[in-house]
Amino acid sequence: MESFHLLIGGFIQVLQPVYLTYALVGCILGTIIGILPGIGPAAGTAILIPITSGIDPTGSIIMLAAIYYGAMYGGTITSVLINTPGEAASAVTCLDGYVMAKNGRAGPALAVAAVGSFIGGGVATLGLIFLALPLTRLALTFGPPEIFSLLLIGLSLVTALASTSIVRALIAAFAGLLFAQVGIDPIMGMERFTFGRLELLDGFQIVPVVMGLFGIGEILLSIERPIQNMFAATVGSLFLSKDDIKRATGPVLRGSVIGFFLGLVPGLGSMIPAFLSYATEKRLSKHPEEFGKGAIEGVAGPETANNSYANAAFIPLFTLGIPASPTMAILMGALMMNGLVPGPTLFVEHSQFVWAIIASFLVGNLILLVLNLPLIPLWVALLRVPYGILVVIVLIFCVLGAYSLNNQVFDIWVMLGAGIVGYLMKKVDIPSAPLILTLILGPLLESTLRQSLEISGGEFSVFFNRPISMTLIVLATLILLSSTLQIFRQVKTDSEV
Amino acid sequence: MRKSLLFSIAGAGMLALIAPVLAQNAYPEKGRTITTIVPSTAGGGTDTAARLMAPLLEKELGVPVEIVNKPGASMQIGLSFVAAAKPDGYTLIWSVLPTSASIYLDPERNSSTFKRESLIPIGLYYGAPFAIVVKGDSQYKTLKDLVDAAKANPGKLKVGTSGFMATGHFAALAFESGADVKTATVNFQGGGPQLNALLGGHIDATTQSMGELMSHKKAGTIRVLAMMSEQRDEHMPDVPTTAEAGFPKIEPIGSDIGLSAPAGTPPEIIQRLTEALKKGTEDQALKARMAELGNTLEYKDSRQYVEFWNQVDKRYKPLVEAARKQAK
Repeated sequence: MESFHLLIGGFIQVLQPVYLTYALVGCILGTIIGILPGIGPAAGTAILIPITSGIDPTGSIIMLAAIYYGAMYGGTITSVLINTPGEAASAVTCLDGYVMAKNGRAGPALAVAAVGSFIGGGVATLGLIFLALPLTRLALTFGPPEIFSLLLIGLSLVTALASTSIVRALIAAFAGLLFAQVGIDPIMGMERFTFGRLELLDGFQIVPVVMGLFGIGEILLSIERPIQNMFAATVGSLFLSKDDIKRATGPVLRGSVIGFFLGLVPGLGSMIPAFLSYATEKRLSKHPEEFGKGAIEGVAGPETANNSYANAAFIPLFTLGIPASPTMAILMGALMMNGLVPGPTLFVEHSQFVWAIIASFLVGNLILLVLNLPLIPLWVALLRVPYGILVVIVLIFCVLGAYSLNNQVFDIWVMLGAGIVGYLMKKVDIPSAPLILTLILGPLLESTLRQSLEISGGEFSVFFNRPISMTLIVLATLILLSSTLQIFRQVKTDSEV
Repeated sequence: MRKSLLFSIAGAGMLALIAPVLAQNAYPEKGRTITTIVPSTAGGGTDTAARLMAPLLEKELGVPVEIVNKPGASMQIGLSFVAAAKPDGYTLIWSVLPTSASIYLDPERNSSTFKRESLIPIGLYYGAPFAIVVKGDSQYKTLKDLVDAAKANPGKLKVGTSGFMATGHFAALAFESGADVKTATVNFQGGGPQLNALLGGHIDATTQSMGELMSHKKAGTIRVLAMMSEQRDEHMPDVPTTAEAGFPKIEPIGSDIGLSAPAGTPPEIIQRLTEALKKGTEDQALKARMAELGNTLEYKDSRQYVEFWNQVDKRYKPLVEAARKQAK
């Protein structure tokens, strides 16, 4: 109850016009950053830190946080409209969101993402208000072995990302794992497949690869087609139908939960929750064959999960001073620059500040919703811009975005290279989503495996005699078994496999 | 007419001769931006400290000082970028020791683009001393408890670091050799997962800088067994140094951050920047902020910084070799 009082105090502070303005400006800037391909939330908040440095601490953090979750939503818009994720977490949204737009359903896709993001963000913030401390304890039970087993579940869901055949999905998944080998290995510090290039020492950056595989790949593919047909020609209903709402409810609720819990585990990043939500929805769906062909569940789930994740990631930051993602690390830096050191004493020493920030999340998420729903017709109208003009703009933004990630020209080449790979994969009908998933999971799997074994002195039993890890492994095995059965069923009906 | 033309030509000639000298005196030129590279990600310790210093340098130099993050490959990307930059004083780097030194000290690494002589040190800014830390309710109350446990079970005590060949890794190795023990070193990927593992009880101890931990120390969720430095930290007077805790052979370890310029930068420019940095470190508000972050301001001028750098090279060479040996 005490936290409720403090929250009211927070609201009173945040609802002052000054802070409302900061939240609004943050949401707008964030949405723009999200829309610009490549410049994701991490780069965006970093670039904008100087702008906020003139404001008082509460105002500047309210604005930076709004930029952050604004960007998490904004990334959706380009995923849906032009198949180019504005930031990494929205990559999954391309799979169904872009197809929905092609079918003239860009409006509902954007609407469900906006509503889902709002609900996901709201659920996560309520969790932060009422359950922050017990959840913090839960997060701490996740050591390297538990994280490894959790990632195994992610890996076992790869098959759920298959569109036509499991074999093709596995080809892509293995290719992703191979690409994940590039760089300095995390334990011995030896170079692998870097060909003497400094830029490859850290491996392939996910964002340029994703932009290339989806966005550039699509542009290359469009060269073969009559010019009008790349982007959606028809613009149908802009808002959600009753059926849409019915189908999206489950995914939104599950997405909130998935994103929330994964937000507590440090080091996972924002793409894994979105992928897990997508795979879960496809598995639970009564009509999995519609996924990849414009299923609204495939947009609702991941978009909710990534916003829920974004808000939940504040929990370990506020209670433990642990930044769960690169963006959180930047926000932590911003807090420290303002003399607010995140950690166990933050709630005690700066309680007024913390509760104002938490209240601002709820207000900010609402602003984002109110801001974005009316803008949907405008976004959709963008599709009427002649293709020749739009494609040039998209290319320019992709190149700028790829460069701005690390201020490095090399990333532009990675993006263009990935574009060619993406084009070829489309030609031979190999899905790119499994490649991206394993490219993200690979390095994490490797380092948590090695860390677990360093902890146990080389004993693999470490994964089995810890209850959480064991449960997760059993779950992963079950998923794997059930998809194996699915393959057998497919073999009977589908001669291609 | 003709005379005045002649004069003006002569005048222009004179000006042309004087211009370069003037230009040097005029460093930094009005309106030009000085770009300082942070070789790690935004929001990290170095970045935060650099962003606190930048406005003070701006005030001293009268031109904008911007921060650009070029992270990657254990800082090698940022360092190589500045090593290749024009030595005109408009591209500088926040150089971190011992990380920068470990690049050329490590025979396994391809360091053709960054060498010891690629940079001229401008001045040292601050140090982040490292500490040996356990969880708040740990059974290890003193450094001796920890060493005894490591001696009783060689290779079993789990010591976490923030990454392979990160400063914390060298600290763990210095602990091993100084206390004559064998531990299981667990190299995490960054400070977040490392702290999570410590607080969750997945590892026994960590070697790390205090920046992120001041709040935990106050809350009692961690216990700082010893500072790996020559003297006690003024903000934690209750914590002994490793020598005071009974282990004088454990080498002092810490991260030290300064400003450097590409080799070939004219000495006058270096001098100007050294002075600006010195003025910056005297700012009262900066002192307070840096203390909150667990950092110690330790201004050194260009020459002292060079000497300091030489000592780092000498001291860390065996530690880099030990890290390589451990990996194999």
